[in-house]
Amino acid sequence: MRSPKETERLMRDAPVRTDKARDASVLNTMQEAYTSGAPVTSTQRPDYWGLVFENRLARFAAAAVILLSLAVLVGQFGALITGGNVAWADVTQRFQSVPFFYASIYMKSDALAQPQHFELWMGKGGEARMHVGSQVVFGREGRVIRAFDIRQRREVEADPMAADIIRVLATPGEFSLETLIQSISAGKLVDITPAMNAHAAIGEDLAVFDAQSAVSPGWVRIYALRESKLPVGLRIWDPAEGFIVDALITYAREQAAISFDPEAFAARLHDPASSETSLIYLFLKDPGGGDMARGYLPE
Amino acid sequence: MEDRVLVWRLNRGDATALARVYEKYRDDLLRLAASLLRDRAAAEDIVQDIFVRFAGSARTFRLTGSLKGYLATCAANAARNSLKAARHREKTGVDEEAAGASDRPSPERWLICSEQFARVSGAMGELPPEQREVVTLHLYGDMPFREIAEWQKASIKTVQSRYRYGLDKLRSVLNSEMDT
Repeated sequence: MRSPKETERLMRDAPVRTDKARDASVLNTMQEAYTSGAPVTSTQRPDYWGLVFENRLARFAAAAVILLSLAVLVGQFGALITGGNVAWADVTQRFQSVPFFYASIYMKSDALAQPQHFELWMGKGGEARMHVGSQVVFGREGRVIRAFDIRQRREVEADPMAADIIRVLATPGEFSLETLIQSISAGKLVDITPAMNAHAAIGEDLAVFDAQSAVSPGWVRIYALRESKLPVGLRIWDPAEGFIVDALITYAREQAAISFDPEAFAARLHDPASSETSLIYLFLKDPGGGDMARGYLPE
Repeated sequence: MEDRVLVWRLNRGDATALARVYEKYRDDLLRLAASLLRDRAAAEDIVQDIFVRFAGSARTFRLTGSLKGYLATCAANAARNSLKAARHREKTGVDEEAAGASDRPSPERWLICSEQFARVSGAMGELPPEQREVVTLHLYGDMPFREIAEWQKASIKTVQSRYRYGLDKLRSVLNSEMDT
């Protein structure tokens, strides 16, 4: 006898396919309907951040991740925020030796939108694990290895934005801090060195640095500890739309190799003893010693 | 979040976002419509119409809730109307041409059902319409019971009961198929 949960899963997972020619035909009709719809008003003011965002949403998320990855490069970041130059090649080299960091990123497309939350665990040698929505995505050296939907308890295609973030993490040449900020500002920023913003920090132990677009009101803001030069937060803000990326970074000792192992994860996917929450955090250890999730009893 | 971005892009004239909306929701809408109507050709017509209407209004479309929920509700409304029209035709005896409209062969078969979906869809046909609506909107439209209750103009408890009874019936039908 099937359980109600199994019946639901059977219904949800019942596969269907579609005819490719008909797909193309429907899409074509949609394009025509869209084109014949009301034209976009030409009186809209130029919105450079909007134009960038339109095509590069994933890059904003990637921006947060890359900037956060700098956090572990204490010396390098110190040089960066004091205006010194840092070669991305050096950053990459150092980044490969980073033992572990965790980033929690919230992103909103506009002021009224619900935030989307990403969690990223980065391990040695470019190993990455992401949690977004109901998915856990494993990556290595810029490629998605496997992705799983926890709700459906099956392997799925990775969330496109998660896949893009994993990709750009391994393409530092494309994503130096310089190119990153330039891409955010649609190439309009000339001076890309973040500048100290004394007004944004009330405490002396916090340093705040801004990279301001010269052509739009948007900016990137990095919050760093003055003494250690460790960044603890990052914000990308577009006042035109209220688009926002807020990121929080934590530092810890590295996680066990198994936490980045998709095969080990897959083996537990159908374990009825594992709740959805415990699967999302499966094999991950809280550095403080607490449980990442209840409901799973390790062997 | 992604839906808001897609709508945002469509509002600004980026037609490429249409393909993503289509790809993202096509299968679930087809499953939903086919389960509600049990008429593949009619379901295909409805889903195509919903996508085209959405595309036509996409430049000014304002997303207030879930895009999937919105499209699923459109599909469920269209399915309801289609069933109502079919019942009316049956009662009045008119007219064969119109009655056969949804059964006429489409240019190409769009939806290719797996054996599993055919069984599931067949079992769904055993449910009363209200239960079928709740089950399909919840499972294929990801709609919470609260929204389904608003749409059905019923209480949440009634909708939850419909879901529970519907699922029990489906279990029973599918299990008996498995036994035979």
